[in-house]
Amino acid sequence: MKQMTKILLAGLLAGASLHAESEPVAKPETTKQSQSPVEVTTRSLQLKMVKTPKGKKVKKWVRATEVVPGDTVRYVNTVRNRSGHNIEKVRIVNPINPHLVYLARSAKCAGGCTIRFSIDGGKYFAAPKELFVKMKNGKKRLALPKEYNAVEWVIDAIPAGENTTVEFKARLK
Amino acid sequence: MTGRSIITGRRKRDSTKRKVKCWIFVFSLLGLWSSAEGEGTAAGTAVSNSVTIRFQIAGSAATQTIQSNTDTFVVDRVADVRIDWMDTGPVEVGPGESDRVLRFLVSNLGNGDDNITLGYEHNSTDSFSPPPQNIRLYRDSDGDGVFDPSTDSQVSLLPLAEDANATVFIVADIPSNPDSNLSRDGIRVSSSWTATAGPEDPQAVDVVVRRGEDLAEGIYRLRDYHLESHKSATIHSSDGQVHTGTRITYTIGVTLKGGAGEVHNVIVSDTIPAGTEYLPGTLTLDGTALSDAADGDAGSYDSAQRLIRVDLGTLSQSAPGETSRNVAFEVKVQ
Repeated sequence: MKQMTKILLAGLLAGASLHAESEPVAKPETTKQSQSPVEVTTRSLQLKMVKTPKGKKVKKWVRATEVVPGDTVRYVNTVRNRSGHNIEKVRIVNPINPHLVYLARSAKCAGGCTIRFSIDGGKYFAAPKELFVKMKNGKKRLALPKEYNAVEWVIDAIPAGENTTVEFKARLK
Repeated sequence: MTGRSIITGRRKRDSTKRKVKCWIFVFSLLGLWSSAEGEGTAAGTAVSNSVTIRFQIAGSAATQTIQSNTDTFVVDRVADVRIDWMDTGPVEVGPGESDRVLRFLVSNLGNGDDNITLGYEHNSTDSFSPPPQNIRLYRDSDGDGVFDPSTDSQVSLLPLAEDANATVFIVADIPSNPDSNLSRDGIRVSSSWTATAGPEDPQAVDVVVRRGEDLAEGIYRLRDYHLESHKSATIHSSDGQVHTGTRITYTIGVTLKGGAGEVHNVIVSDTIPAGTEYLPGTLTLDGTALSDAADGDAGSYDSAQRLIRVDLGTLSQSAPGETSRNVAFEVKVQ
């Protein structure tokens, strides 16, 4: 019923946005990666001291295998457009695991994008300056970065055959 | 004419008790044990991440949604032990005193249980000699912050859950002839976990040692103040000799000498010498008359026991010097 309502409204208000998201005009298809020419992968990384071939110790982002409370984890999400067409209105959503705390100003993207956050598990996204928490006394305050529980990157277009990455960092509680 | 005066008193001790409880409360709040934002994620917890992408192929109105892979790592165990000395300052002790206590707080800041080893250490380079004797380590089993051998347990191993802490005491006897005024005595704590260096497997629970051991020292400091008493007799006789009927005034001086400090519950008591009788109404404190009855003032005379008693309360001084009180009474030679 909810999906039908969305379709009806989309038909009446073509091109308009509802709430903070662009609503689909047709039922979206969720596709397994193996079937799609567009692929998104996620990797967790941590900063570790490693030895270079010359024996020098340097800090390097490596796959997260030894994470303990207090450590910073960097998530890098890569989108590969293997289709023969440009893809548009690209929206990447990454829920933040409850054991992690988002690190302020760590979300970024390789190209141009709009970054927004959610504090309700991904139902509503907004820019940091527009994301509010309602307090018990009825007043509202700006949400703190540590309260974010989902990140969204919106990219206008990814050309055919190209890749791009988006990422953020979080601290393990 | 002889008499025996008895001076009793209790030195300032453990008014640090309230301050210790306050410090424990403050330390807990401060999150020095890294628990200000909640407990650390337990070792072995799987932390997963996956991403959703929505897009439209150029020229098509259809929105497609793709789910990413799920990336998972398992939280490793971190060993992190800490100990802090909890007394608010050096613990004042006297030569020969027994069961003197230093307080410590042991914390497990790791994300799993730890069976922590406790070891006593004496800093011989900066302490009096001979060192404190009969060293024992106790856990504050009833959690009241006060050492009590009837309720607290002697320990060498301290099992603590993640993010838990416990109070531990060093209990020692002070030597009777120390050669200086300070002794530094502490406890070294050691985690039961050692680091593992396995293959780089995000699913394996390795052990990371953040702080495998820690040491905290407490200080015993010898008191540099003490009580002295002195008794004198003034014979009221024209020839300076004692005859039947001669009055004698006895004066007992009690003096706090040395550095700043205080002694509580100081009581002077003296038996009327044989062969004399106490003259009623002659008991004074610093020249002020005291009643013989056991009433609201500081003094009394017990005729059955032939005993005068004066409660001086607390003798204290805030700077080095002497602070004296004088008790006097008269007798008549029989």
